Amino acid sequence: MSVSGIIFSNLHDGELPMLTVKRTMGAVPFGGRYRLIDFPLSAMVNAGISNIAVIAHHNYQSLMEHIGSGKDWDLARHAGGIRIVPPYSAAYQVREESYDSRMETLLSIRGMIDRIKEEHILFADCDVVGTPELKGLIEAHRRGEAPITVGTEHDGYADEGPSLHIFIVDSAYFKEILFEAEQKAYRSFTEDIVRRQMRRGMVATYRFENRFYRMRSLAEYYRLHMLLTGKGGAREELLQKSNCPIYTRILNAPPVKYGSEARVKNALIADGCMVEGEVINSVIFRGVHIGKGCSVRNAVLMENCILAGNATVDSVVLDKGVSLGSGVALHGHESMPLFVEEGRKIV
Amino acid sequence: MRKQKECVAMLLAGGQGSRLQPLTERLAKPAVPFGGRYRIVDFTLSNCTESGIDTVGVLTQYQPLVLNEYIGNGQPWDLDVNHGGVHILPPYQAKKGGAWYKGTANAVWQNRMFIERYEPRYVLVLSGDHIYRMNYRRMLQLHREREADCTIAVIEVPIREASRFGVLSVDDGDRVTQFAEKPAVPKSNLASMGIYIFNTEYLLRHLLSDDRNKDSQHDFGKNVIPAMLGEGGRLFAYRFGGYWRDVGTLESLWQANMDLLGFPPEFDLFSGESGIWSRSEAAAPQFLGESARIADSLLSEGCHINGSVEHSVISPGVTVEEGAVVKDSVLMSGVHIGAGARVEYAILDEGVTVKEHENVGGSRLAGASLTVMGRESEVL
Repeated sequence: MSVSGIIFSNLHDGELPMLTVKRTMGAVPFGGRYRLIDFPLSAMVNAGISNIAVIAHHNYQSLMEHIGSGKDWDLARHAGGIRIVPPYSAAYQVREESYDSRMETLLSIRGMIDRIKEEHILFADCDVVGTPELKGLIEAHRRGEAPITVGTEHDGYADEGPSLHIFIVDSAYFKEILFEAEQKAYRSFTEDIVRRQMRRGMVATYRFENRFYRMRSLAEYYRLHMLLTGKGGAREELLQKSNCPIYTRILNAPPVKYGSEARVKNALIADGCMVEGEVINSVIFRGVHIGKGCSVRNAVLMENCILAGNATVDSVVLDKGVSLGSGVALHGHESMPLFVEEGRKIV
Repeated sequence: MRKQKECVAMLLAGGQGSRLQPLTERLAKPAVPFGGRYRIVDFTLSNCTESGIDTVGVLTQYQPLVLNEYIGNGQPWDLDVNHGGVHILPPYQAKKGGAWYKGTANAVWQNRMFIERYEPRYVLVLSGDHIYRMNYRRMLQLHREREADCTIAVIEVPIREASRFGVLSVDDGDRVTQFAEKPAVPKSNLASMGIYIFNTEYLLRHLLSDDRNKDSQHDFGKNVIPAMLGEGGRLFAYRFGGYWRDVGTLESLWQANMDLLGFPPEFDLFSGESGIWSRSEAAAPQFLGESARIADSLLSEGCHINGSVEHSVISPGVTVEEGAVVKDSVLMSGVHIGAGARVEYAILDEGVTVKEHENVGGSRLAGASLTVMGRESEVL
């Protein structure tokens, strides 16, 4: 089975502007111990793909730190493995509205795509969270005649383009398309490639069985985290599916330590945390300290947040390393969580 | 490319751990899970890494499969280096025939070629079944400053307990004057921690004469150290003041787990720059459900808690169903506690299932003794 994977890490940064000030979409923290890129990456690894390129443009330091050598995904290889394709210097220089960034990105990595030896290329972005069985998509593409197969959530094909941004192509055919795109100065991936190829009958669709979750705003990002703490099955489907483990960077953090006055329910908590207060309906990332007398409700606390004694938070998203002094109280609304940026100290 | 190593560690991991049965039925003592997500050997390997010792031979012969797989290429401890790294050293067949390791000293002697490959000036001999955090560099520095032949790490223990250990007598300069392995009447409260630094040449010479001695049990504490002292060697004690536990019995294993709890605990997994290094698998964060209660406990990734957990240490992937109570216990990975069940003052090995409304163990305060359930067993 010869499939090469390409993941776009930053095409949707604009949808979560507050979370992507210092990081690219793929590096946005998710679900306690993950980053968004872990989902497409794990899906590819689980489908047996072992040659993966991650396309980055800017703000990719935290992404590089997260992926490291790729060993935590079993992608530290001599043959294949994972690599981050560094910024392409020519990209984003043409600032015309009509250019979509996927088209621009594809053209800028054309040289890399030309060198791909695998028979097929599978593409994914980092803006949807799900645990698709990509093997099904790959097999359907092999069986079918079309040189492009697009993954969808529903039967049929939405006219606005590949909404999940997961699609597989025949490498040879796709290389020709990109050559043509460059010659003819195509500007829109959806208009000039997808629609054109559809009219020629070159695009097939494949329906995934699983649900996908989108995060096109901070409110949606927050709501999905609240779903992870509830009974609707999101946690089981996204994080605990036994045939689709989500791999992520492994750190040497101790187990979570609870004090004698801890009070915790409906909470998803990652390793390395110390909890001495109350945590209800919340997602707590690695290394968070919640002191005595604290109350944490309906909250998303990212890595290494520190809440001193008697701090109270409700309906908030605290980015990494936020520290709250004793007695500080922060309240947002369930439809509009209060966001505190990385490293902020509030006393 | 041959680079000399200053110090090579030899980690003794061959013991049967018979006093830890049934936990050691299918794995060697150093591979026994500890502290939620760790195994006992993580502590010694982490000490090596943090002390800058990147060449470690692990001497195994009893049920080595789990330990071999766990240590693998040493990558979780940064011991996957090109020259050196961690190596599993089982007994092997040589030209003149092979033999099982006859004792701790014999195990090192049989692997003298491993040591010689790296031409180290010093050999550090370690036990794979102790829980502690120690920088071996400081001990090595003192060893050099004193121009010692051998340095033995020691810890002060209550004199009534000293007869469980190798006991050292020292002079004012901490030079060892006497060494007695598990003496009936201890002459001091300085217990050997089973951590030795030797000058390589000096060690190999003594291992050779020990090997030729037909009456020897080929044990460091019983034979080699006394022989070195008998010959007037420069043996010194290195005093260690931190937390150190031999977890060779079920009761001591349970107690050492409990020592991790509390604020501050006896032994703090959260202190230090990089914590304890270990191998771990991808698991979801732990989830505590609607009717969960948790207090004074350590809980690992992948757990699903809907019952009550109090004063306990829980490994990855454990499920505690609604209404179940777990108290004063150590639950290893994959344990399942059914709804309404009660587990108290117990160690449950990997994969143990306790069915709904069943009771395991009893109240420690009321005088119950420690209950231990072996792997894959089931209370019906």
